[in-house]
Amino acid sequence: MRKFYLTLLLVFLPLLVTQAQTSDAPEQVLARAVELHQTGELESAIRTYQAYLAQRPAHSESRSNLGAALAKLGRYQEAIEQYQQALTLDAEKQAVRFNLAVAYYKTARFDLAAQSLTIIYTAQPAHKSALLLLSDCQLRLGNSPRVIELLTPLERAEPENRAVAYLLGIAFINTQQLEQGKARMDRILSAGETAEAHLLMGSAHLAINDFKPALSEFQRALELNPKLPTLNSLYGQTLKRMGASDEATQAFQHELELNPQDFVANLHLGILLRQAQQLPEATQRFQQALLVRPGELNARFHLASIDVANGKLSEALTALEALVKEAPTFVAAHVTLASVYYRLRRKADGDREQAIVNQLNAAQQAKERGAQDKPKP
Amino acid sequence: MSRKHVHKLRRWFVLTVLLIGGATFWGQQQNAQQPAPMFLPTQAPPNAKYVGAQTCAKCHTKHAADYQHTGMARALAACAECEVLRTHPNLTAQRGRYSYRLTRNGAQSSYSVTDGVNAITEPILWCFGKGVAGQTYLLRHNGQWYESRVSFYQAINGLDVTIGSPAAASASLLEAFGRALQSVETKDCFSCHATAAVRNAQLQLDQLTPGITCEACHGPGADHVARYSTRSGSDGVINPQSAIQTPKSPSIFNPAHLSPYDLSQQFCGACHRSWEQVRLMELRGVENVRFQPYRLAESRCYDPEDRRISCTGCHNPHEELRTGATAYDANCLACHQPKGEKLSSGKRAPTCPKSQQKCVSCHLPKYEMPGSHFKFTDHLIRVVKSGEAYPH
Repeated sequence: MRKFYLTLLLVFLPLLVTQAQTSDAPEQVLARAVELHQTGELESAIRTYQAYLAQRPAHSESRSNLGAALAKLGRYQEAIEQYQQALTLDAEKQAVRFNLAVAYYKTARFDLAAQSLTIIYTAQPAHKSALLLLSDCQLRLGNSPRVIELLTPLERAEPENRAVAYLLGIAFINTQQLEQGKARMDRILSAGETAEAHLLMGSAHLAINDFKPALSEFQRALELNPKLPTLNSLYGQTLKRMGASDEATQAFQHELELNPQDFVANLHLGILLRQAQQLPEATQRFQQALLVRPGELNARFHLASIDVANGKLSEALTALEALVKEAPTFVAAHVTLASVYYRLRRKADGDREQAIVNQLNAAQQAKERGAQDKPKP
Repeated sequence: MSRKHVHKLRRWFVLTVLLIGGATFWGQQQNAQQPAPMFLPTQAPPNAKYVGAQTCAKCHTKHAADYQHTGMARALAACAECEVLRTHPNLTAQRGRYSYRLTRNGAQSSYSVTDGVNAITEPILWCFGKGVAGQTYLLRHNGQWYESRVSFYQAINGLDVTIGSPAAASASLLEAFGRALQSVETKDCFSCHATAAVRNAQLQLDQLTPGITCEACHGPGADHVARYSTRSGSDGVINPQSAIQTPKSPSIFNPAHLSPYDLSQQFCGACHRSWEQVRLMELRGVENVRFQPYRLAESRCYDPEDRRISCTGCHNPHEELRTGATAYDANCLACHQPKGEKLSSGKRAPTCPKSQQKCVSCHLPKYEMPGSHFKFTDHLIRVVKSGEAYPH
């Protein structure tokens, strides 16, 4: 009989212990989760937050904390889901929205990050981090005029802020306002030689197709800080335009190692890979570029061209027709569309596209002085 | 089990079989509809098995004999087989302060450039072009491919600066030696001047055959040969008659079956440059005169659906290029036949009021591309107006 009780005890003791553990008061579980989070035991913290949330699913702070722990482990998509749920419970928590924006930023969804940051900035115009991150997102989305609009007031208030000068400088150069860009460059240079200043100077040279000095500036910037975001990408663009496609490929690859979401590096590396007939690899790059800038015309055009090369003419046709509808002066899209029509034996449509190409080219050539050469037969 | 039950089961069984069969058939149809990339002479298909032109020649004797002397067949030669270098054992040139010397020694030739103090000398590895217009050399220096700074030109029977090289004097001995090629450029050169040079998007120099051989255009021939070898008997010898009597064998690719547009623009244009490529590259000016498919497509009379105005409408790729002024009259008259004369096919085009002879001498003018020492025929077919600018 004693044996029987002992066996019973041995069998049920672990169950009793487990029961005791899980039946901790929810507040104790939460405290334990926070403690684990603070001591950096993230996996355990995540499990404990989840145990707490199983009991108190509407606790927004815990969801936010769980999101932060997940983000710290690079599990951004799960973090985003937790932040979104936390915001559903309490939409006024701007700190949670900022974390959500950062998670979007880290996953290259700059458009979604910009949406969240715009909400924060509208509610809290003094939130400087939100403003700077929003400006960075707009820059990556190719919206330089908006960056100028956003940062000009902050620059007036903080003329020595180098981050502001840097972002504004790039935005001015992107919009061909080179003098304004140069002024920000000088401001950064006055603080001593920095990679940022050389990057800006190189960008200014690149904007006016002055490739050799641009290359020197980017090389110096790389010596000072090889990990400066977008630097390898700009260096790659310069090399590519100088015809050094092998070196450009390497530069874009370096940028993507540091910054996998760089739109320009993805796009241009895709173009180089497509030229080298490495079509699956090129496709990946264009798809990544489209994650960063959804709907971007060039990336879509190159994907359509890869479809053509792979014999998927009907898919290419749909994509190209949409492109020329959205961008009627996109010559390359009209050219490839004409070719696809001819290949599909739609001569009338091909002729129409070819006529559009000729019109667009004639208009372009009319703008170029001295473009006419007259060799005689 | 009741009879009713058996009936029910049978009905289910038949229905299931039909569903599975239907799904399989649909799946196969879907797979069948999956488009495949078009075979192009610039890329070897995956797992391609080539047999070599000599094997093709065993059955296709006449084509092989006619073709072997064409410009395409001899678009590339290894240095040892290079006719130009064999017949010109010492070639020299002086450009600015740089002296060039190409010297033959047995089966090898060396390419040397000096500024009087220093020199770079490397063996010539590959000769690009038959030499009718010109020939450019590929060299290796410090592990890097270079295009020779000077090329051979038939018209001057000697060396001059390679087309596309900068007009300005070279700034350094290395620049005077040649132009460093990017990997994609090297691949492009070999993919158009050799057979099976590029496989899986990679340049495979050890597997290429110099020149555009039969299999460059017709694809790898192993399956085709295997098919006819097995028909021929136990000795494995191919029966030539069996090949000749089955002209449309599906075991080999025949570009003649492509649509006229795909043939001229996609297939021939893969190397000779299509309308699409030239437009995308924005190659304007007389430099684009050598891109015949592009120029042809710019012609007013070009019809992408009319085989009479495709590349092979006028040129037989198996034979040497015809060059006489009357050589293409019949091709022009295939469309521009005077009224009353019967057309063999297609629509009738207006008749020339001047002549029905030597059409190309007026309507396909020749242009010299600067630095090429060669007059290219402009394939933009037109009524040339006196003093007109080169039509882009």
